[in-house]
Amino acid sequence: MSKIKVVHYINQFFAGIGGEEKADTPAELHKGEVIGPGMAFQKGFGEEAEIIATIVCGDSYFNENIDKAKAEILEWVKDLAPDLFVAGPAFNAGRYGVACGTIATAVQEELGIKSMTGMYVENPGADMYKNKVYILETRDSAAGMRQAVKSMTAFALKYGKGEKIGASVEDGYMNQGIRVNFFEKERGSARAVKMLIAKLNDKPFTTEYPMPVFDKVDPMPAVKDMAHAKIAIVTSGGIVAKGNPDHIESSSASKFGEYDIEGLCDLDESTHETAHGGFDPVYANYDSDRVIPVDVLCDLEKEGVIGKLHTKFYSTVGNGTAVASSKKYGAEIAKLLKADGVDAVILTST
Amino acid sequence: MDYYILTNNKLVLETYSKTHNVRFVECGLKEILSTAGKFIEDGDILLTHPMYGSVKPNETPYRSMLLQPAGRNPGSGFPPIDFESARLVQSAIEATEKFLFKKEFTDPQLIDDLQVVDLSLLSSAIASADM
Amino acid sequence: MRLELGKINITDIQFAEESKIDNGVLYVNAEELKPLVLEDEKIKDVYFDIARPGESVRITPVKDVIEPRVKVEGKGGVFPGWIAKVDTVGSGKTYALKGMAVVTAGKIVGFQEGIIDMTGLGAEYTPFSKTLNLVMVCEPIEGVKQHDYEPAVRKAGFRVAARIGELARELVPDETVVYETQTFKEGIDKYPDLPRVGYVCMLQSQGLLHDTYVYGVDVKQIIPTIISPTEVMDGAIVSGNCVSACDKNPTYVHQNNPVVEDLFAQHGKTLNFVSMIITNENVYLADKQRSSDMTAKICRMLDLDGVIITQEGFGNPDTDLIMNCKKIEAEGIKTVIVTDEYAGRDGKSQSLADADVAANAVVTGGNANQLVILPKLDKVIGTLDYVNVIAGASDHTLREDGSLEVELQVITGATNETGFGRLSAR
Repeated sequence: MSKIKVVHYINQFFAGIGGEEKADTPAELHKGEVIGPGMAFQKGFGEEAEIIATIVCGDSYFNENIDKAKAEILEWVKDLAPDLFVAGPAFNAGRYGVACGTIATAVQEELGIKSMTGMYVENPGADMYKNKVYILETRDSAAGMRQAVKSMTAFALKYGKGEKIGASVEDGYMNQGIRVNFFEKERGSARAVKMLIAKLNDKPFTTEYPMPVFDKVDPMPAVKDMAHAKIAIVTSGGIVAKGNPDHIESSSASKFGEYDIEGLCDLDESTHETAHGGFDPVYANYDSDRVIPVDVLCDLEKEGVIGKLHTKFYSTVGNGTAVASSKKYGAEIAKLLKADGVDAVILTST
Repeated sequence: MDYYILTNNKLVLETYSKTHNVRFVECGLKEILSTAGKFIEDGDILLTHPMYGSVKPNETPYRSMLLQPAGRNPGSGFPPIDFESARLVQSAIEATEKFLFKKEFTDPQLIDDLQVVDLSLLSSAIASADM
Repeated sequence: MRLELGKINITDIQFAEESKIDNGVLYVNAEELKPLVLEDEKIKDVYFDIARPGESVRITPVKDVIEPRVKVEGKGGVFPGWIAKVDTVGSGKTYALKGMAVVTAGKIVGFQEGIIDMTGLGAEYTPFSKTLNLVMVCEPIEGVKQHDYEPAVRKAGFRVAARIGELARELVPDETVVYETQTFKEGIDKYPDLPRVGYVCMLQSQGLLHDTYVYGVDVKQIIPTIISPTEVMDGAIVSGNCVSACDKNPTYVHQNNPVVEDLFAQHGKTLNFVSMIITNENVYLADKQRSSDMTAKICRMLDLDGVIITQEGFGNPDTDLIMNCKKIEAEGIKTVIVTDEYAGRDGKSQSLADADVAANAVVTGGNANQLVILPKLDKVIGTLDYVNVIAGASDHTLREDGSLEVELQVITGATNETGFGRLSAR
C-alpha cells in the first residue's frame, strides 16, 4: 500500500515564527516541508504516512480574514490532494483551536478530504466543531505534546487507512453527539457494580449515557412598580419588519434581529411579518400583534398600567434553532436590553 | 372510575363497546396519538402510557389508551392541561418518528395478531382501572 | 439463605436412543420428549434440533431460552408455580447444566422476533451463540387463540428443561459455587462497615408476550416485594415469551441474572448485598406511581445505601425506570441504572423516552436501532416466514443474496438490560 499523504496545518507559534506579535502572519504554503510538531508526527507515521506540505497561518490573520484565509488554504489543499488533513494540536489556545476546527471542517466538507484536529476539551473550538470533524482530546498546554502526537498519530493512521473508527471512548476522539455501539471489555452488570461502588465511595465515575440536561432558570422577583417599569418584547416567533431585512432563516436561525417600533401601536401586514417556517404564517402575517402584543402593551402604556413600552423589540426563529445558539442570542439581547434600561421583558413563542 | 377508551383498533371497539365508553377513530398510529393530544389539550388526563408494549411504533398501526375526561362545569372556563399527559403523548409521537420502517399491513392474520396484542395490553390497564 | 449451585459442564448434545448425560455429553431421545410437549392439546406438533456454536445455523423466531436445572436438596423444585409447587426455593442445592440451553421457537403471533445466529456477525451480539442449543420448534393446532397458545409454548419449554435437568440429579458437579445472603440483622452485624446494597429488578408486565411471572403469579398483579437473589437461581422468575427480543429477559437470564452474580462476587468485600427487590412495569399510570413509590419505600426500609436498577423492554418502561431512580435517589440512596437505547439508526435521536438529572450513573446495553446485515446461513431452525414482519425489519429485510438487513433489536439478548452482554454505546 502506498503512503498516506498528509497535509499539516499549524499556527505561527508552532511554526517558530513568533508569538502574539506575529499572529498576523498571512497563510503560507510550505511544500515538501515538515515543520514544528509535524516532525514528531512524521516520526510517528514512520513509513506508513508522509507529510507532503505544511500550511502555516497566524491566528489573528486567520480569524480576522476568515473567508480569504479559508479560500486560499482550500485552494492549496485541493491542489495537493492529500489523503488526510491534520490541524494542530491546538491545546487550549482559543483562536488556534477555532482556526483548526474551522479549516479542518472546511477541508472535509468542501473538498471531501478526511480531516482531523486535536485540542483541549475546553478550547472553544472543541464545542464548535467536535460534531463536524474528529477532534482528538489533548491536554491543556504544549507540555502535553508527546501524548497528543501519540494519540493523533495512531488515529491518523487508522483513519487514513480507511479502517473502521470505533466509538469515541475507543479511539479517543471527542464524542460527536451520535450514539455509537461498541463492545466493552466487561459485561454491563460488572460495569454497573463498579460504577455503584465508585458512587458509594464518592469516587469519580463516568456515566455511559449522559442524560439530556434542560436548563432551568429561576424567575426574577416580580416587578414591584409596573406603572413606572420599562417593558420590552422578545420573541422566538420570528416577527420581523416587512420584507425580513435581516434575512432571518425560517428554521435553524443563525441570528436575531432588532426592530424599531417607536410610535407604532398596531402591527399589520404592511409593517411586519413572520420569518418562522414552523407554523402556518397566515394569521401572524395578517396581524403580528398576535405573536407580539404591541397593540395591547401600547394601550396599557396609555392607561398607565406600565411605564413604557420599549421602542425596540428583538426576534429570532425558534424553529429547530440549536440550544447553544439560542443561549448566545439570549445573552446578547439581554445586554442590549440592560443598556437601554429595560426593567422587564415579555417573552413570546409560537 | 370515569374514563373512556380511545382506540383505532376495531377489536377493542367490538370487545368493549357494550361495557365501556369507547371512542373509535379510524386512523393510523400517529393520528391516534395526535387525537389523544387534542383531548389532552382540552383538559383530559391520560391514564395509560401511550407507548405501551414493545411492539415498536410503525410495526403496528394500533394503539389504544385510557383517558379521564376533564371535569367541565359550565361557566368555569377552560380546565387546566395535565402537563404530564401532554409530555407523555408528545414523546410518544416523537418516538414514532425514530422508527423508520413503514409497513403495509395487509396480511389478515398479521392484522389479527396485532389487534389481539393491542387489546391484551389495553385489557391489562382496564383491569387496573376497573378495580 | 444459602444455595449451593453445582455446575455440570455440557460439552456436546447428541440425539440418541437413551436420554442421559455421560462424560459431559447430553444424549437426548427426542421421541421421549415429544409426548411431554404434546400433552398440551394446543400444540399440534413439535420437532427437536441441535444448534452448536460456530455452526452455520440460524434459529428464529425464538420465544424463550431456558437453562436446565434440577433441585437436589432443599425445599421446593425448579420453576415453582409451573413445574414444582409454590414452596419457597433458593436454599439447599441445585445443579445447573452449563454451556447449554433449551430454546423454544415457532410462531405465536405473526410479527414475532428473536434471532439466534450460531456464527457470523449476528453471533457476536447474542449470548446464545455460545451455548449448545437444544431447539424445540412448536406448531399450534388450527384456530387456537394467541392467548391460549402462548402459555402452552411457555410451559412446554419448562417441562422439557426440567426433564433434561433431571438427568443430572445423580451426577457430581464439575464446580460448586455457594451463594449466601444474611438476614438484615445478621448482615449488619457481620458487615458493619460495608455499604448496604440492593438490586431493583424491573420486570415487564403489560400483556400478551410482554409478561413475566414470579412463582406462577402474573407480575402485573404484584406490588413490589423483596426476594432472595438465590430464589431466581431456581427459576422463581420466568419469562412469558417475547416480542422484544433484544431487551426482554428470557428465562435463562433470570436464572443467571448477571447483576445478582456480580453483586454476590463483591458481597462481604466491598459491599453488603442485602436483597433483591422485584417490581413491575405496568401500562396503567397509577400502577407505575404506586410501584415506584413502594420500591423507593422498600429501599428506605431496608436502610440501603446504594441500588442497581435494571430495566426490561422498550418505551414506557423508561418512565418506570426514571420514576424508580428519581424516587430512590430522593431517599438519599445512590443508584446506578442499566438500560438500552433507541437512538435511531443514525444514533442521533433521544435514546430514552424519559430522562432526569437524578439518573447520573447509567450503564447502557447499546443502541437497539443499529442496523446489521446478517449473512445467509446454511440452515434455519424454525422458519424465515416471519422475518419480514419482525421488529426492526422491513419488507426488504430478506435480501436477494439471502442475507438479512435488520436492526439489532431482532437479535435475542443483543441489548439486554440486566447487563448480560458487553455491548455498550457512547
